[in-house]
Amino acid sequence: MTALLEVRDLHVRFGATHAVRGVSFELGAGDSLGVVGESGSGKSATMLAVIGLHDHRAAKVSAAAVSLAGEDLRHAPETRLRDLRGGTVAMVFQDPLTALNPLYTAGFQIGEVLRRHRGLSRRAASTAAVEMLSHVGVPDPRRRATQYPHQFSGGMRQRVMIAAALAGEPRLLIADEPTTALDVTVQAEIVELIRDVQARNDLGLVWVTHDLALLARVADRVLVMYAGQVVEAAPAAELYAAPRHPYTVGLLSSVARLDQPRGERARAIPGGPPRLDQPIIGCAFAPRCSRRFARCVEAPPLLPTSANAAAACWLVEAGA
Amino acid sequence: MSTVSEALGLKVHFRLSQGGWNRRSGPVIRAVDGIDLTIEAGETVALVGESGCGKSTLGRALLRLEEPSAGVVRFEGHDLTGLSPELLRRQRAGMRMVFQDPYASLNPRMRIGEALAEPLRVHGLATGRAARHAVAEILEVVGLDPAVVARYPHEFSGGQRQRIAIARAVIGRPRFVVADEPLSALDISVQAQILDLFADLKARFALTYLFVSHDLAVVRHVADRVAVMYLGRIVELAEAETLFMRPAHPYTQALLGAVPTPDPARERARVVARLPGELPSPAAPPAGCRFHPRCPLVMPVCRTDDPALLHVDAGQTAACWLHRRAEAAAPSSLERLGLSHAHPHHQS
Repeated sequence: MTALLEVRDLHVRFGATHAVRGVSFELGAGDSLGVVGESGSGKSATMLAVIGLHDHRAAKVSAAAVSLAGEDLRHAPETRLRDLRGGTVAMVFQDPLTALNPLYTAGFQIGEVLRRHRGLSRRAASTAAVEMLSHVGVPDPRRRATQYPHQFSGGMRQRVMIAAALAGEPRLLIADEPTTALDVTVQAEIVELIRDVQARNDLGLVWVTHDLALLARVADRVLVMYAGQVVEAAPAAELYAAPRHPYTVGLLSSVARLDQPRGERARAIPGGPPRLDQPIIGCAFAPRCSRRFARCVEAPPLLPTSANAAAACWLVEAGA
Repeated sequence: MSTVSEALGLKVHFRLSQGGWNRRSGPVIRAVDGIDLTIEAGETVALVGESGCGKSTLGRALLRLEEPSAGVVRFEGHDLTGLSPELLRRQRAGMRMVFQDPYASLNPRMRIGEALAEPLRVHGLATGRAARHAVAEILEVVGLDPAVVARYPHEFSGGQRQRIAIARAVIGRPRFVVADEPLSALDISVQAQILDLFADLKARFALTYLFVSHDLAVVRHVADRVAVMYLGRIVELAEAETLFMRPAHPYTQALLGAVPTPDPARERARVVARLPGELPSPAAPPAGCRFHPRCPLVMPVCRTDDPALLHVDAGQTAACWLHRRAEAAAPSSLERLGLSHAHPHHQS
């Protein structure tokens, strides 16, 4: 069985800054993958590279493989990538106000995807757009279809963007911090909506976020990124219960949580991430790591921790 | 215990300009719409709620950075509403603000040393050598090398900039600090560092905090008391432990129920209750209880009568008719409101 998405040894450079340093992962049809990391970890740059959205003048992208449903995207012409985006691959971003065109109605923008990717007539597209809005839980969809993005609240705008993303009948949905700008009650609703459409349409889902608590609800498998690399990859149940990389351990214990006794304060990871415009020698996390030892001057590869999981840490080899 | 900050019947209304020449024509936004709040010395009070509920406006109004439309604001017993600019400036030395975005709150062209010395100069606390000494001292307190005085804000990471902004807030030894979403712009691993710093400073300088935040999980670990705001009002005010264990207002329950926990087994099993409808405009709050159009437990009285904060339990009040007579509210019905909304609500 071929994976829906396969990425091998992906690198992204912006001038001297080496933002993504050899990222590899696979996603099966209908699977959901969480990519978690802090700002500058390379999580968004990785996904933008996959769908060819980096500006070629600013970013240098190279990879051993980037394939979507068996198709090699590395040398795909821009016209082909444009067909894929909005069609086979849909994206939902943090800020729907920048992704939606302020000059067109919600109905028109969803209809545009239906016309372009599904070849519907103008009239059929406009009827189907109203259905899409209703499908993503926008009340009074007939009237809402005639309104402009600024007339929607943040949560409703995100629903419009999800409707537009689904209109092209994608097989892969990339969600990059889609709920970060939303209030917590609205965030919970959008998470439910995306989970629901993923299950109904058997979508492959990649959810990029800094929020480990949120991923616990949506991801089957989690990649933890640090300084442009995957430092741990594991099924969600394993990663949260028994994280192996000291960075994952630190990240999990710095999340403030409601289910722990009060006074059990979140613990900070000292220091900050390394600069990416200079070579990183050895393990990138070593300077902040409380468990570093002699071996860490060498960069650790991803070492298997179980049948289906790996961590880039020498402690794994040391059996600790 | 002495009262540090106090609001009585406080309202802050803004008139939205419609553009055009008739500046008086726009709708009135009732950002803060009738609030009583007392903060005692040494307390950390958290103000939580979703965007547009008025929490930031209330925080600013307590420092009189917003002009009240009605009501009174006091700082250490002094009425701030009627003060002349000169007298207000004197009071301001005792109360400071920390903002969400440390990059926006630091002048990019001012060296760190100058930025930190400025409040000392403005309030006539120190100049020259004494100011330089105070700057070096406060930098060490917030965990930065005193040698950074010659550098500019852009040379620092987000977490370091927030340390500088906090140093600037506390260098004049205020008694009261309002921190408005001081962690929201920071990475999670750094947030915990800044929380530790707030705790250190509180102990060292005997500070009183108002912590404005949308993040309930963070608030739980720092606050002594929590005030929950909805559409310009405080709907629940309680000791932190009580509020998180037994939230009394249906809105507080919905907020807490929406917070995810990093535990896949638990998260996948959790049924999230959805609040019907959308947040009404603060220009036209609903009649009766402001939360009633979205409340899963709405009763006839809620549509007509606006509830005041009612006693629920020791150290806990909620603006909700369910608590009209605490003794009459059977425990079973309160348990039904618990966090784990296991059964679907009727949608109104």
